[in-house]
Amino acid sequence: MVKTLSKSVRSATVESAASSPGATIPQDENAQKAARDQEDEDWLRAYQNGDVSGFEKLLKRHRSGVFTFCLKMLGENSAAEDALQEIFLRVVKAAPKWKRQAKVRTWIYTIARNHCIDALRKARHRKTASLDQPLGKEEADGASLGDQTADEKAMAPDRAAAQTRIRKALVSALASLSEEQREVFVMREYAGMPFKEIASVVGVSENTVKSRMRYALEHMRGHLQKAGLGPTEAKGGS
Amino acid sequence: MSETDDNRLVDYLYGEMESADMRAFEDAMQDDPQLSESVQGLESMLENIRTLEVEEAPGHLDSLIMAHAREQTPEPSSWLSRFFARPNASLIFSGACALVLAVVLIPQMSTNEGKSGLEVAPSSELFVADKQPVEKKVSAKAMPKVEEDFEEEAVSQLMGRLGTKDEVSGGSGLGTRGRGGGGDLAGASDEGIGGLASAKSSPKRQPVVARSARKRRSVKRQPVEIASAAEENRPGVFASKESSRAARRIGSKASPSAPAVADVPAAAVAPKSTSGRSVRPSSEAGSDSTTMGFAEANDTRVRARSSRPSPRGVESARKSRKSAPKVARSPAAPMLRGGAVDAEGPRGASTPDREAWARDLARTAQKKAKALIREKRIAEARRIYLDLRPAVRGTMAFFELSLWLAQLEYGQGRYLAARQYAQEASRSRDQRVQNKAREVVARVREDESGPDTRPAGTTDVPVR
Repeated sequence: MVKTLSKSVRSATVESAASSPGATIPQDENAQKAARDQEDEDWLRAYQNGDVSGFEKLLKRHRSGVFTFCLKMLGENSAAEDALQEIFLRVVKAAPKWKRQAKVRTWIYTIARNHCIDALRKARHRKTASLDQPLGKEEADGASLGDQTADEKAMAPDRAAAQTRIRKALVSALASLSEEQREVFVMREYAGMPFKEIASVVGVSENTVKSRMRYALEHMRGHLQKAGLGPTEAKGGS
Repeated sequence: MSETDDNRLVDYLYGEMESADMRAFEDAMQDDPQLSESVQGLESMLENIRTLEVEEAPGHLDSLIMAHAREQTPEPSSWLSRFFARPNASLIFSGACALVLAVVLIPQMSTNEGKSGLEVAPSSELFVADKQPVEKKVSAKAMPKVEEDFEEEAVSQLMGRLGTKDEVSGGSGLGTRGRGGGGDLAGASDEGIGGLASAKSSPKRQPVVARSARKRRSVKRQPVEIASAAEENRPGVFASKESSRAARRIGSKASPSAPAVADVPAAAVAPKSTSGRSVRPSSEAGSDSTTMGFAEANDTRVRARSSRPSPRGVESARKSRKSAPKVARSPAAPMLRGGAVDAEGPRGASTPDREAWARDLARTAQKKAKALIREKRIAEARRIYLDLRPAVRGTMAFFELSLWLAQLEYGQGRYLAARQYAQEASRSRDQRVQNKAREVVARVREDESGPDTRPAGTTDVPVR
């Protein structure tokens, strides 16, 4: 069941960008981010000291973002689920040795990124799943990755159709990006990580990250325009 | 569009721009229709994308992950380890210890003013001496032990001439406040020395001129001799040829009085030079004989130099002391005196001082190497990095150097060397360096052969 992303997962700048594009991040948002980072650290330390609830809180906070990241990177629901499980198992394994060298979120996404890179490289030598291939037994009705839609009962048919179209185009556009551009785009757009943090995850300079983001955005715009989703396209039926 | 324009555009789209820059960018958009169209197109696209519902992670995975997490729950650590795990707590504790030590030691040192029999540990004396150029007149309270040594020497010589130690000690009686338990002349105390003075000259107190001259000589000799004594068991302490060569290549930012051996940044070097002459470092054999030979040679030079104090040297030393930042030195760090600069920096396995020193050195080397690379002088840039590596071994800067070498070699198409350096750099504890090193390794692999043959599970961040 598809639900609206909670605010904690979606970047705060998305909303600010929608309301006033180019607005600077207010001080209170920075304070909120700092508080969240500190909470992550406290929870992880609690887990290091034997408190399982600390890890549970971390998992609840980050699993959606990590799952979305994996889904966008790998392009398959089942692969994303496997990746999510594997990533957090690695987090559990490495948690006792974690030291405050980077933010917890940065650390988790670094593990996620490395896992996705591995998975993609292995997948290169296997037959790539087509976007139209059925996802699994539960999708026996033939729903494909490109057709993955919101709960249609909750939407007007026209909106659902628009959503489907946009989603298909988006998936296709993401798949056409290079891995480097895709990971930057997904981390920024879906995990809400600032560019500086993305740079530390990816291991390049902030300028490089921004350049990749720019190329990713331009590429996607061109791809979506070819799919008929130009700048004048209705906003998903809303 | 240039890289700067790319960055500005992206910053604007995601709200990571200062207000002033944002206004400037909006003005630029008004003047450039193409830019404005581009920004609007991207904003519209992002709006479309953001209207999509995002898939939630399946709930059944949580139970599996939590089950595993419960199984692997770490044992609760003791309150002590938890306390020290906090960075602030460790810092506060270290500061408190330092304060306690200072409170305990300083009064002790001040109460022994004028008395040469003070039992000051050699390392702390050396530490105090580090901060003062050799030729500066150091107060007796800073170097009482050394004075005692020389006095002991003089006493023993005199004893031979006089024939009896009673005469020496008779003036005031041998005190028991000598060093290390010597009841006889070997542990001559200040009383004994006073006795010597009285034996030598009739007044009870030594003439001020004579004592001050003796102090000066003792002060000048002391650092090297203590250094040489301390370094008997520390081979390779002196700057190696390689590191000194590296230091020269990096270029001197030190004060004019710093010797050529230490062509290293002033931040990395304590102001030690006096006359500006350098001491040639020994080879990196690390053998005791080499070290001692060098110490003796240095001793000779220091003596020769110290016997004719150069006003310019004193002045330049004072200037260098002012210009160079105060670098805290570990008491155990062996330092060359007499104008030589410790181009190898503080010793010890990865102490904060050494790390800071190595980091500064590496940054300077990088700047220089980048300038050479821009001029297409690749071999020289490579040589800078290679020469510096032995000096910073054991520090984080070593891995950074490996990374830069890997990038350099990759740029030159020398894949084998690039991979080796990158694998070395990937052992760094710095996550950023690790990631970059892995990136180099990955690129080398891609360039050499297409498929990635890394086994699964080898890409985790090695959290240390």
